[in-house]
Amino acid sequence: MAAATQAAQGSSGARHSLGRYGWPIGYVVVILFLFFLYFSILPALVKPVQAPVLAWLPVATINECLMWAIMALGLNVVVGYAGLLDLGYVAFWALGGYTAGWLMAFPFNWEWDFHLLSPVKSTLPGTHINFWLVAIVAGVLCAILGLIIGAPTLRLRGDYLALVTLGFGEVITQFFRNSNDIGDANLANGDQGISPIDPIGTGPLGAAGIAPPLLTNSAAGNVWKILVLGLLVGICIFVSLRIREGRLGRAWLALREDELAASMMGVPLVRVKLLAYAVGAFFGGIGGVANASAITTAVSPSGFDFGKSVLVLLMVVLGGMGNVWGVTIGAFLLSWLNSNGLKQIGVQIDALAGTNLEATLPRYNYVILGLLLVLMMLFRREGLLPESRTRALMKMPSRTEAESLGADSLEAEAESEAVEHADAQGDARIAASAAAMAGSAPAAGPSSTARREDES
Amino acid sequence: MSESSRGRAEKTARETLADVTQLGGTPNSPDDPSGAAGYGRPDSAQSGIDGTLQRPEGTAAGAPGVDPVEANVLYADRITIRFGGLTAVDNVSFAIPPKSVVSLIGPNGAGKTTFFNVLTGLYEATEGAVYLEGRDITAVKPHKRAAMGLARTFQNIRLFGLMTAEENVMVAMHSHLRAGVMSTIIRTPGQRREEREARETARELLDYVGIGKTVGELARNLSYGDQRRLEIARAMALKPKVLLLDEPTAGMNPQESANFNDFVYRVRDEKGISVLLIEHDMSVIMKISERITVLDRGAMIAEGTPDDIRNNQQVIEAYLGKTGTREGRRLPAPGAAALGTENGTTTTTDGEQA
Repeated sequence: MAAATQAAQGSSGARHSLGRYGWPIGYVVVILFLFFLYFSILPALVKPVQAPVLAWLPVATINECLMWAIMALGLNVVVGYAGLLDLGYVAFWALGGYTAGWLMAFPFNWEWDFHLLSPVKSTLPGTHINFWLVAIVAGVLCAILGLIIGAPTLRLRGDYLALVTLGFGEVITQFFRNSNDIGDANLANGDQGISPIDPIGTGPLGAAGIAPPLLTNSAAGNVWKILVLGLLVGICIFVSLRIREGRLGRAWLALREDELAASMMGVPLVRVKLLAYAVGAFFGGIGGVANASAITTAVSPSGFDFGKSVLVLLMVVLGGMGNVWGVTIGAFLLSWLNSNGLKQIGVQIDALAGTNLEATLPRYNYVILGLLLVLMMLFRREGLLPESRTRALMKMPSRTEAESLGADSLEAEAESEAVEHADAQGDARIAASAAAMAGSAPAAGPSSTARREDES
Repeated sequence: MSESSRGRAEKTARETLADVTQLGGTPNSPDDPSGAAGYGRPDSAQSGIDGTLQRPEGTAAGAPGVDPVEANVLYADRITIRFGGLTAVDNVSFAIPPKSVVSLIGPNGAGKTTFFNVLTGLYEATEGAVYLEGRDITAVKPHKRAAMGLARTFQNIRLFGLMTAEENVMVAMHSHLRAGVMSTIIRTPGQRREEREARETARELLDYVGIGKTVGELARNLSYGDQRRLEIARAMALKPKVLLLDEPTAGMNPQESANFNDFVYRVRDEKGISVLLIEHDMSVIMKISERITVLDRGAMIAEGTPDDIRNNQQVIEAYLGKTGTREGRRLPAPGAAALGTENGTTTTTDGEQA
């Protein structure tokens, strides 16, 4: 066991130094590699090499994966760090998306035109604000919504908390569904949603002719989106890691471990829980804007169903709750399977077996993902890449647990034996009283029980 | 259950308590060296435990002349707690003088833990008030009380098992640290300094309780004794005025519990922290406390020095039950007791209320 502990320490130490210098470099390298792969390497290659790569991992799928990673990282703060189960995370996604709909789209009900650092033509009607500004606004709005959702759930734990958050998620969706007629006002265009939403602009890069000025769903636009979304994911990872190491992160972990003990150690539960919701929601808001602007270019209530909340949660659980890298990998894997992977697997099976799974397999995505979750829970409960501490929990019983089973009590025995030998008289006394107790045990047993009942 | 079996059971229990009081030594009696010798308190002369007991005025509720609220670090004024029709604690006043070691004892179900939870703010008292350093904290939330200097440990250890020993201690510094979300993300020089200092303090505290080697170990992997120590280190990170220890020696072997007594005096004398112990085990309490309050069925039945308590008829009855026919046998006088052994101590009652 000592060796195992040491190994865990060693790996955490390595992770520490990696976290300090290694990961930002590694992450930038990966994102840049993806970018250049699709920007310059693949187009230069011959078709037989190029085609399978594009089929298995199209650019659009990478962008989708990155967007999901933002969501998963946000939920990881709430679920993984603070241990508050949230089944309504899609609410923040929706609000983020609709913030984009309100601030960077064509008008659906209002007349004024407002442009602020927007890449689109200044003659376009409607409100058009720069993507980055909208992302911040959406983050703040969602953080406020997070506080509103968080406040009434503060006293709840476990199942009850999950149910209330589930309810909130549905309420938000229903709100947007009926938003075309709330007090005679059209707030968000109801079922139709808002469309189209402005694409991300590239500013000076676009002006210089290096990148397309607008990152639309064209081939060139998609390639550049890798960088933008990659940057957002990078920021989320950075913020997650930093907060995790500080005062607030420790308080979250303590909260996850033992709420009562944490409050008794001076951790203000209300504040710390609300901050978890707020930070998680902030990420969710940014993800919502990114999704609306870069992936779907439209928002409508049907895009924010309960299934999305579950899928994000699945990414967190499958990747490894609490571990930023695990969650990122979980998000990539699941969103890839969901958007393109299953289809490609179907295509491959079709080619081999002559079946027709290409269309069917993606339709059964939730069945397959559910099955995956069941398998994970059976064989790797801690997730693909778990936090080192969680791994410890899953892999071995705690020392006190082991001691209570008698596995490690030998040294304790030796200690007490040394004390006992100091006085043989004491030994004799113990033996005598033990004998006396044993003699009266059958009679003493029930009577002492009765006495205890008396007292309580 | 037959009458005779009950008598036998009581006899056994009585003997056990007699053992306890004998074996417990009489550290407060100047002519009995066994207590001090057995537990080796180098500072006993200065601390005034032996013989010259400092008895702060106003310790007992309602002592004349001195305002107990001002004179004590912690003062609970006429606390009553009712759960529906059940009165768990009935009109109990309790004082913790500065730099003292006091205890709250009572048989299982006496309301000790309930009372304790009122002090820490977990329960709201139905009647009465709690004062910390003269301030009324009756309405103050538990985490604020902790930040104000009311630290506790738990009867059944409640560490953050998946956090390292160091992190456990640092969690308790939460209320003393200032860094906000933004400064943590940016990692400002102030935040970095604060973290570094917190880490150093945590290590010092771990060293202080004697588990400095375990800094990076997950709390759940520590031995039972070390976990108890870690809990105390964590509580001390709150920079408490009062340290409330809920059955701290439960599950300790005699050697460990002897060391523990030394440790409690060190905490009091070196850090100037008052210590309140809750125990149902008489032997521990008798050796360590300056003053003892005894609860039984929610009511305070005695308050005084260990000697007072040892000879208090009501206390004996509370622990042994009242005999219908015979007069309750007095426990042997402390001096007359045969020189006992410490390792023979057994708890007077087994098990513990949840």
